[in-house]
Amino acid sequence: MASYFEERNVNENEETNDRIQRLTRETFRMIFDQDPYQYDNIVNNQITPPASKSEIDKLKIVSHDKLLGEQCPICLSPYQLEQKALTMPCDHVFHEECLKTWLKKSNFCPLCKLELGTDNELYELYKKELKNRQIRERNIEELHNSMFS
Amino acid sequence: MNNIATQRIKREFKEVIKSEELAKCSIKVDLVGDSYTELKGEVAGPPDTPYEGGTFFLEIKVPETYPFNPPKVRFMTKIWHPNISSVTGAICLDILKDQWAAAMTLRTVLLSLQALMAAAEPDDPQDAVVAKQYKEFPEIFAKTASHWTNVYAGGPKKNIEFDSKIQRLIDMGIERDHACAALSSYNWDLERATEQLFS
Repeated sequence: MASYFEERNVNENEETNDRIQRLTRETFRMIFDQDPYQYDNIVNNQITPPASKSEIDKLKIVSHDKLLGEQCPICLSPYQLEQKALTMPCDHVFHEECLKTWLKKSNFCPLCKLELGTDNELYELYKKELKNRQIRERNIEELHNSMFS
Repeated sequence: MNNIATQRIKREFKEVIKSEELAKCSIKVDLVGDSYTELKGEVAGPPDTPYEGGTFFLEIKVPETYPFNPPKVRFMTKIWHPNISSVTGAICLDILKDQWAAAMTLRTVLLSLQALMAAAEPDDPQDAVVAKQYKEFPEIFAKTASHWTNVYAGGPKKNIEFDSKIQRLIDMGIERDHACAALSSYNWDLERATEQLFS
């Protein structure tokens, strides 16, 4: 006889993180079934939208004496005196022009993938949902451990 | 080509040439013609995999918008791998698509491809037939991949049984590559491969 799990097509060995992602995807599909194109981009293809203008404007300029002998990881050329450099919140530095071109396409740091906020409501909602689920899962685990250890 | 793309490729060229991996003969890039828009890559099959001992050539096309968009990469050497098309050489690898980041380089791409050869992801396949064999008959998969490495990439492991089956089909007037592909797809079942080829 097929087990309960088999009948329901449930993988007992699924990792917690995979399960959270899967459940978020499923919930999201139900909420956003009127926009399958966006759903596909965000959830299936994990295409990140551009960073929002306000987030880009917040990036700080780096002074030149700190960049002596360094090179921009995007164009791989050294920082020249007349070129401005910007830093991401993760402290990764790039030419202003290089970084801004990149952030018009994707919202994450080219080196460590730290994400900036976007203007895409759907994407932000998805990220929030994923994060909330992870927090909830952690809380349950902590509660469980406090009761049984 | 746009200046930043060309300039960057030139710098990257130097990076690959200086890299340890080149010294160990595991990766290489060459120019095709005078422009920096088309390159030829080379990766060595990783040790302890069916690809060991083989040399795999890659077609690398650098878009105008590089490095803001990924290079287009395809295997020119035929390869039997779940994430690479056995027909066209097209590659399914996230960093060559939406997970690309502007700080990645030709060196990181070639090393990622080598890592992909060492650890396939059959749940995200490019070639469904290969992926199915990888999951259901891992031993046949390993032998097949090893055979393809021998035939197409100069790998050392000859498989006499497979060779004789291919020869049988060649004797029936089938082209060598078609014979090899059909037999590989049908887990080296000569009868079923023949059936498919003549149907």
